[in-house]
Amino acid sequence: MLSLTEEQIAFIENDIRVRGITSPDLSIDLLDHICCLIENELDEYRNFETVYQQTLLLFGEKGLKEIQEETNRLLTFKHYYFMNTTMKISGYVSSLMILIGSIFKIQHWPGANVMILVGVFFLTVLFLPILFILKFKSTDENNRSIVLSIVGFIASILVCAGILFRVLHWPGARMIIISGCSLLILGYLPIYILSIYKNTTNKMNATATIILIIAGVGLFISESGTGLSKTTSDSFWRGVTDSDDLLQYNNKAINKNFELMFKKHAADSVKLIQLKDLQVATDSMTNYISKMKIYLISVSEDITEQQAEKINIDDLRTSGGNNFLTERLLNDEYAQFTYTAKKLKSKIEAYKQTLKKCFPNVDLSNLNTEQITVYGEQVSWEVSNFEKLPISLVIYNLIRIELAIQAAETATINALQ
Amino acid sequence: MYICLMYSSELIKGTLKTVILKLLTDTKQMYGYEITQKVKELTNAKIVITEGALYPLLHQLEAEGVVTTETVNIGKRIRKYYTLTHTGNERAKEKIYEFADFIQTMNILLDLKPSI
Repeated sequence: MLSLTEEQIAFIENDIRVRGITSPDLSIDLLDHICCLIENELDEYRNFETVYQQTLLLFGEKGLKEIQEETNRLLTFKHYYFMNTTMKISGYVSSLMILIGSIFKIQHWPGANVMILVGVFFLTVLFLPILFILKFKSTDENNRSIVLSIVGFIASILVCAGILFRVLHWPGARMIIISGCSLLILGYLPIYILSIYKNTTNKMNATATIILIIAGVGLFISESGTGLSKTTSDSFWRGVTDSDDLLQYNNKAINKNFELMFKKHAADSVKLIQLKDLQVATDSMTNYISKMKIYLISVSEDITEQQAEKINIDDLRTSGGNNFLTERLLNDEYAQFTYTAKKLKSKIEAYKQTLKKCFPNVDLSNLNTEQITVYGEQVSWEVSNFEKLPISLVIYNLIRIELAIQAAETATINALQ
Repeated sequence: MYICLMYSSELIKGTLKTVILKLLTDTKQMYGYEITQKVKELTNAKIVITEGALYPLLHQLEAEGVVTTETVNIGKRIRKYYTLTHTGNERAKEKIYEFADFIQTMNILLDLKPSI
């Protein structure tokens, strides 16, 4: 057995580098290994060059480089099991959190928002990125699957963020969800379908995925449309917003009217007292109703009263929670609460008495609190105004009552002229 | 992975780690070439480990903390000796026990008569 000379070793060392081995750690191993192999073969009859070329043949077609690639693959996947476990656990935890959070939200139990927030956080910060990395690594550098992973990743992050924004009443939710869904339908799905037709092994699986994506996106769209066409719901909401504006406008006019009347009847103490009574009663009435609106929005949307005060009526359009509101407003269990249908009704009745004291013949037909007939059935005023209605319609009915109060008030002032 | 003269590669796939760990348990310090020669010698060349299988695995074991390395200068070149760490010793025991157990199970499953 002959030993290699320093030049020969330097030659091999250089050749290993030329053949694409960049890791110094691995090149030390390979250099020693190749030297050992050659030294075993080398004898007086064969020269170094021939033996070296023969030795290289042992490394197969792809040669030394493949060893480095295999090493890198194993090293990058060092954390594979850890990542896989983290992905699974974070996936289970976050989906469970979101599910439970949603149930809490529907039931209006406390902590719903926190749970959904934490769930979506884990989903977007742990689960989706790891899923993306693992999927990315496991694809065989196929361009289409890399694009697919990236598009899928972005789309799912968008959808998650959009839902989060929506649940927490942050602005822009609708836009984010729509862009996420569009990316899924217009970006992900076509690439995905294309890639299946290239790869026939898991068509069944793929069909299921496509159906799931389409069904999911469909659900989102139907949910955000609440079953009404956009024009219909928009015109309804324009009506509600207009009524709200009208309320403010009327209030200003009525206050001016009061001022004029106070001046005009400054000498008439009976009328002054009547006017004062009317003003105080109306103020207390409108105060009660506007506070009731804020309170109902805050409990139904699960937000603070400060937030409820600022919320745009438009944002209520899709919120459900009918049964919950019905219970709050109509159930005797909540009778001790400040804002119930019964209390509102008795306040309206008291208000009507005040108006009648001012002017007995005043027209109070708009403020009727008697039973009414709906589809041939006798229904109490409370039920007809508040039972099983979403928050949006409850608010709408309260605005209607406020408008009726203003009308009755104006009629009374006019009668007192 | 293996250049295997006797056995199909799927049969032996996954046992290489156990083999390396066992060799390092018996001989405290080994370098790569020595491992391939030892396996060849012990199995009468029925199993020959290729470099393409050996080194990636050794580097993975090192990254996992199962083995450590020590370098020795041999003239102009460096030789890297692999040694089991404490975890490595534990892992070796587990792997060998697992494989022995597996063989027993296969014995029962395939109804093999011991060839004594």
